[in-house]
Amino acid sequence: MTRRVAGQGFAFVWAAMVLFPLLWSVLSSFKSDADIFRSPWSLPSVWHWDNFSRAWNESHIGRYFFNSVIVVTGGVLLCLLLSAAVAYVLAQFEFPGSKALYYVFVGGMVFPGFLALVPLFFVVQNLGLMNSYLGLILVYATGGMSFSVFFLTAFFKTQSKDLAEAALVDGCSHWGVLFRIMLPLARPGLVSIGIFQFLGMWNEYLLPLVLNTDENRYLVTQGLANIAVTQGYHSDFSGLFAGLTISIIPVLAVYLAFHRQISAGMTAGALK
Amino acid sequence: MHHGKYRFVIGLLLIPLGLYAVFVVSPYLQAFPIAFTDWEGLSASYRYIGFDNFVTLFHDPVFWVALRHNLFLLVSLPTVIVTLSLFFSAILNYRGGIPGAKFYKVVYFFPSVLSIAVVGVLWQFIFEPRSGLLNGFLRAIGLGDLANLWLGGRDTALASIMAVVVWGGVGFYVVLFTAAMAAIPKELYEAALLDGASPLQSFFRITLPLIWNTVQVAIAFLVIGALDQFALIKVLSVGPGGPGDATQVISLYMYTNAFSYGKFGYASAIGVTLFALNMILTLLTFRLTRRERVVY
Amino acid sequence: MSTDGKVDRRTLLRVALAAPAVGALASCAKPVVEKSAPAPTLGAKVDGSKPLEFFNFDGGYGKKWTEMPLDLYRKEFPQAAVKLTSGQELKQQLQPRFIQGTPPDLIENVGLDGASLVAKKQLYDLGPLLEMESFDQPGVKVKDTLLPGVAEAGRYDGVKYEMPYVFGVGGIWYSQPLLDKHGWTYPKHWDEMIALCAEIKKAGLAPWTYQGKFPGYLANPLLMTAYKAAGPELKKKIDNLEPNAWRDPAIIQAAEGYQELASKGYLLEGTQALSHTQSQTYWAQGKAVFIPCGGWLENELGTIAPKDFGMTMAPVPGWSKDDKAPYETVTGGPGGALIVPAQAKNPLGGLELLRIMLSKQCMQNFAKLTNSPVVVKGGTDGVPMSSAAASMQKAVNEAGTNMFSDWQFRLWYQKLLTNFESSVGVLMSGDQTPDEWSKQMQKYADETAKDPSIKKYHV
Repeated sequence: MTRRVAGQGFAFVWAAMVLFPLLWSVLSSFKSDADIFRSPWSLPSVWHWDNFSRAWNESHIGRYFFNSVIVVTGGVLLCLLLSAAVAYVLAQFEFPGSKALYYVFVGGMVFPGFLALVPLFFVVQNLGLMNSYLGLILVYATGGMSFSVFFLTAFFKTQSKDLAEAALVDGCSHWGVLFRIMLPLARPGLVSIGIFQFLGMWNEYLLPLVLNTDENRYLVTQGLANIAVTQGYHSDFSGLFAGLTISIIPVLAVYLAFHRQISAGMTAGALK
Repeated sequence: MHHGKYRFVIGLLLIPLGLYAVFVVSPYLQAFPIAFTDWEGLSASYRYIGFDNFVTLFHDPVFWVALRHNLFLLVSLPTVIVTLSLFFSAILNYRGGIPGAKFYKVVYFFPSVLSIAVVGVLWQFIFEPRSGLLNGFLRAIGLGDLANLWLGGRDTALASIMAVVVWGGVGFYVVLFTAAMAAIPKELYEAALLDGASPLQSFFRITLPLIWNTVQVAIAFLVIGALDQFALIKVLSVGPGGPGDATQVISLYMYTNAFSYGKFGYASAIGVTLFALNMILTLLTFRLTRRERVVY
Repeated sequence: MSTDGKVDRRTLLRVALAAPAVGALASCAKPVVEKSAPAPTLGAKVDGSKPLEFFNFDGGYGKKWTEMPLDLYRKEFPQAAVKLTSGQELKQQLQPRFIQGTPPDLIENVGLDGASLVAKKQLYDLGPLLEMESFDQPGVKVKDTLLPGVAEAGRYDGVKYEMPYVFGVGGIWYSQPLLDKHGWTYPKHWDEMIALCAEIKKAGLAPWTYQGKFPGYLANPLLMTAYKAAGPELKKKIDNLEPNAWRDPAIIQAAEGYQELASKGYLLEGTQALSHTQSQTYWAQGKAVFIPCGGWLENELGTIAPKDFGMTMAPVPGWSKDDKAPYETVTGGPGGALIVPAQAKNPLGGLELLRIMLSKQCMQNFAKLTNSPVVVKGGTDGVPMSSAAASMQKAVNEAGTNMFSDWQFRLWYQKLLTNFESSVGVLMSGDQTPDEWSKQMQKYADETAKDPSIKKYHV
């Protein structure tokens, strides 16, 4: 029983450590600049809702949110599709060069990203994809392939070949096996890698900075950076906290709405 | 029965491989030769200077300092995060789950969905020595002596940034590990209990071996993550990379060389070196953490 | 990713010694009307059908000020597609475009290394612009509308590549009412400064704070104190990367003096970990008495400083009565850099837009919107002057000819600058003695001198 209480205690402390800074930042976004520097503990003397309108207007977070959703959703879906195809082949078929191919993908995972930044710019530019959703989606999707292929190959390998063999014997084509049997079976793995990728792409900052310079196409990370930098020139601390809050709340809301699916996805992924 | 296999394989690989080659492989391949030039990154002209950049790198004290910090993170980050995550997972899963386990898991995961930019800016204010949350908290509970400069102190800066990574990382792995633990059949624990095993014993004899695959993936991911620490250090550290070079890491040093010093060739040489290190470490991690799969 | 923009901050510190309304030179000097030789205008030569792109650094001065000049350009060339692009990370955003040969036609440069661009012949010679007729003062050449020193600034080996647009000085800031209240006077030499600090501390205030996260802010005053002790020869030695320049006794003793601020507990607690806005906020709240900064301080603080704060700037204290350069010496003058890339598709259009920006109406508009002084005569007419601006004007007046724009090594050698700024942080933490620090700095300077990949300039 004491063990149970101690366990509860530890679990609670960590939860507090996570929640407290977030609540503090939300609270600070209602304060005046002077309040923020007076004490970290005090409640706002006056609740400054105007901080939010300022942050909202300066950051255009609404529009950037829309852009981010399009690019990240497209990027994740395309990434899953491409990676699943490659991973399935690598896991289920032996052919000359299949090992080498595997390492080409895994190698991409360990390459520091911004070295390729300038060459990547030219690739995108030459394809006429600068400042376009499609350009970013393709770059995001392919950038996420290394890890996804690595992860999904392991996932497909754990799946029994018997089922596929049996289906083939029954006259099912390779394509039929893939779409009717293997992909549905791999769904948990796909969901869980999808979550990985979603979080990663949602956070990406350097790529859009270089490939996406049109302000109408800015992503949320760029908008937030804008507030942070602008803050550095106007000492608008309350506005910065409001900006933080604006960017935290929707993501947390989406997470809370889907947390069951997310943790189910990770559960399934973890089993293999 | 393997009729049409190759046609199928090629059909399936064509588009993914093509896109991957264009958007990932080709930029990386273009980046390699740059390591052998004196390119300053502003014009299209450069000279090939052989291995000069690598020779300079070998004699560059800042590079070695950065490498040492990376190695420190490499060992400490996976150790701390995996240990903490396992600890909290075990607590949450204790006897089929303590009350509120679901709530805790949801809360722990919060930092994982926040953008690193948000986390960085937030912690900048938490560490602020005068009216920041951390020192304020320490003073409030009578531990004012522990109040510190944190990011401004040579001895505390790197550890402070590491703490932020831990804060942001534990939740994800708790969810991952508890999921894996939940799949372990209850009968195994019941049997162990009948044998008189303590909870600690059953954790090490049953839980850990059975979720080892998941732990292995976590370690691999964290090892690569440790070499990739950049954004948080750039936002949080003094300088950035300071005080002095107290929080200098390879990726930041590469970035500084490329974008501040205009030494793109040298930065590429750092990148290639980092790539080689990454490769070795990844392989090593898999070797070291390889265990026989436990079948149940 | 980089949410901070602090790299840009430091670059701004370097290039833009901007001061809100230094009216001295601006209001006293009336435009010299030269009627004799009619200057050519650019209008005829510009291909008005070509598109034009201006890249604006969306930082301290924002982008509102760009509307007027861009509209004027549109009015002059209605067919031209005029585009404004903005950003804060110029290195990442513009570097690929320079390499590809498609840079914008005019850039407000904060972040790109000007010296490297010049070394790689990436910039367009702005010399001809100076000889052209001013946009809104008929018969007056552009160079004659500029404040003294502006035409000379931004030259590399004599060629004009960068056009400044703001004008200002930097120094040490304090609240005059606060000093008056305690009966303190601003010290002219360092020993007096240390003595005053002891008194301030006794009164329960922190004598100093600085932008701890970016030690570069303190690095400048340190060098200035050394300069005043040793005289102009020191600057020449350091800028020319001469052997043992950093081992000069004046440098070491200044390092000792500044380190005392930390070792004697004269810094606001926590200073070393504060960002620029955080430390400046505490200063404006009266928690610390002195802070080093450029002329943008008032603008940057926004509404944080109380209205009756009496924000005042004074020159950096010298070392002692035996100083070789007067206490009144300040760094200041034109700052900021507008550049036209050599590979721009429409360089003449870029030049023409630059000519429009330097017009009196646009510069007054800039001064009004950004609360900053500008580089043309009469540019701040009609802009109200604060106590901060008045104190800077006084500093400029008293400096007379004892004013130089900046230490050249800061503009020429990025890596040395970064090393220098970071090393001052180490010095203040007490991890190095002043002597060790000066040896370390000498090592950095020698490395730069020996590095064949860095183009060297000389004064």
